[in-house]
Amino acid sequence: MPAIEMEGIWKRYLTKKQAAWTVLRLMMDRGKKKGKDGKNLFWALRDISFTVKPGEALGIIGPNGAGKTTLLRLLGHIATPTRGRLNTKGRIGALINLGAGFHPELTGRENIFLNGVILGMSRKEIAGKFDSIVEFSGLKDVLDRPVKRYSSGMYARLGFSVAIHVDPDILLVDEVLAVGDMQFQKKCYQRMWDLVSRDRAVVFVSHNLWAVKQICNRVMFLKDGQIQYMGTPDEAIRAYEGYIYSDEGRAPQHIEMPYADTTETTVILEDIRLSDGNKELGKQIEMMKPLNIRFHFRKSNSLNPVAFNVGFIRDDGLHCCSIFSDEANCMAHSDMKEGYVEVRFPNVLLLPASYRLYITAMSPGPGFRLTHAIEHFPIQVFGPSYFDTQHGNLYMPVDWRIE
Amino acid sequence: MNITEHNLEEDKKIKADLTRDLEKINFRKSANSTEFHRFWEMLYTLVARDIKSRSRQAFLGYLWVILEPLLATGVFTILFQNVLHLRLTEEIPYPVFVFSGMILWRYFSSGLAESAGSLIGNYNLITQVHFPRKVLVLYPIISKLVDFGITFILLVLVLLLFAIPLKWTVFFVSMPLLLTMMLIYGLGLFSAPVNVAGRDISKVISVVLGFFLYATPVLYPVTLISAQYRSWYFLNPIAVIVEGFRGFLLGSGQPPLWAWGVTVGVTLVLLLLGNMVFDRFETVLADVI
Repeated sequence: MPAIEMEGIWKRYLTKKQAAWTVLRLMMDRGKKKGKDGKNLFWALRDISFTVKPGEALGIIGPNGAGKTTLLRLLGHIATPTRGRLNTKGRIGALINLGAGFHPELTGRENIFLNGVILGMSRKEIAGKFDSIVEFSGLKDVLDRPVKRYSSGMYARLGFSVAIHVDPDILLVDEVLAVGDMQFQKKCYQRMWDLVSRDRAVVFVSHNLWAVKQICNRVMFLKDGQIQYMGTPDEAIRAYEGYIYSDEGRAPQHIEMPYADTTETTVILEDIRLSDGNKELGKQIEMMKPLNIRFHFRKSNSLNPVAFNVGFIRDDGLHCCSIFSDEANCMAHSDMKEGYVEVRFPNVLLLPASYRLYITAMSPGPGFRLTHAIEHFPIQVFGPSYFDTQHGNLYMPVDWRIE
Repeated sequence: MNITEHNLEEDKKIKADLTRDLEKINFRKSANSTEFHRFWEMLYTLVARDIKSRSRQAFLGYLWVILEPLLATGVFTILFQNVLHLRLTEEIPYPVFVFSGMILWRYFSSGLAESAGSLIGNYNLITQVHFPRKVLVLYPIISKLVDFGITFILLVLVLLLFAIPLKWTVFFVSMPLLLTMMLIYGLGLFSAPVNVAGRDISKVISVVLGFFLYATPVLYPVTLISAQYRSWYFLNPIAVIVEGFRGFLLGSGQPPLWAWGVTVGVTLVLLLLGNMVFDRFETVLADVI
């Protein structure tokens, strides 16, 4: 018996004007739905069908506006689908936004009860779990202060602590873990694992692909309200990344940074090309192979020398490495107005994952470097499939010997 | 303590947490709250939130509940008695007359305004959690009832002060009070959804309420209305309720029986229709708010 059963779900939102008419119409004509379907209407979800069994964690990934939050709202019975059938079994805990119903004037203690009841617990149940809630949040000392005095992190922690104690049969989690420090996030992931291992169903929406991979055993890639791919986390994430790095996805961003340089040096970086020494590469880069980055720069003011910097950031925010050209005594001198820069990595040692490659132009020198321009875009490193996050983020060439 | 040790300790703590939770859950599972149970839990909690937060927001806190009707009574007394030199009441002192009508009128008008705006005010709840939405229309009526209770006690004290004996019919005041609550609830179920579609209705309500204060025997006795128009006058349910309320308290006269009948009828019809409208609207509420 699945915990969630969704069959042919369609969801449409109304514009404000349509909404006003709907209210009036609902009042007037006994709620008959007039057949005006498919005209100028925006479908937030189209024909979604899936099931989630107890003990399963489903991840939902996709670009902004894909319908992820709408889907969660339907699952939480907050909104009703326009068409289709949805069955859920058991108590639902929805973490769509933390601290629902928190009142700023009330103390943390009072808000625990308030929020708990709103999330579906009885007051008796909350009283029984109160100590555990407080302990999990780590906010014992500020419990009798009004929550308007809390920092946003504390607010979120209190909200999550209550929510996680609802002990739902189905837990819905929207991108809420972004707040809170690393240790708290770790506790939260752990708790989600616990729920799964106790045969509860979890639906987890996140942009943090790394976290999705850790928690979920099935992942749905949603785009334009339709399921693009559904399968194992690796496959679904690959499908999503394939989309991100395609032309349809995000184009490389060009950012001219504002800065306070009085000499008004403006540098433009353009025509960035990646190659493995022989052939040009797209955004797919192979591990353990050479990587050459070549780009063109232009300076609007020739007076100052400019150095360059190349680095990689993993998609979960880990800064993997940063390499400065001036440390190798290489920079564009004062009289040079434009030219090509080539960076050669003889061996890519980053493990397979998604990264952001960034290139900056900056004033050279030790210590503080003034950034003149920054360009960054996503790349994907692929390589032997047995490498995963357990291997860290970097491979170091090694010799083993056992004697 | 090195990192691995620390992690071990933390893991141990989480595991202990878990087992404790598991134990709790095993015998708590049966106490899964039903929709009905949940409605009352929500109602209690929201009423408590409302009262607590209101008492903390202002410097004088909950004192305002009695200060407001007292000040309003004072203003009207000075205006009508001392400035305009009108003699509106015979036996009952004018301040007592006004105050007794004022507290019920204030309950009706503030209750309706809050109830009608409650869906909008709690939109963050509606878009995030599933629960019976009617509780949002109902809870302001209950929390304002607490306010009413306090002003009612004050009224009894005022009567003692003016040495006016309470009639034995005071026990009947629960009837107009109950009717008021039902009337607010019925109107609230109507206007709260309309308010979501366009915020205009709260403006309309405040204007209409401003007018109805003068179409209700709060500031003047019904005897001031000439007999030929009085049956029209009593088509206004809240006028009947206020007149009846004061009558039970001070023995100042009752509206005719047919007026009571109409009021009860109108109230019941409003409740019924309001419920139907709201039930239908509930399904689209989270989308349009």
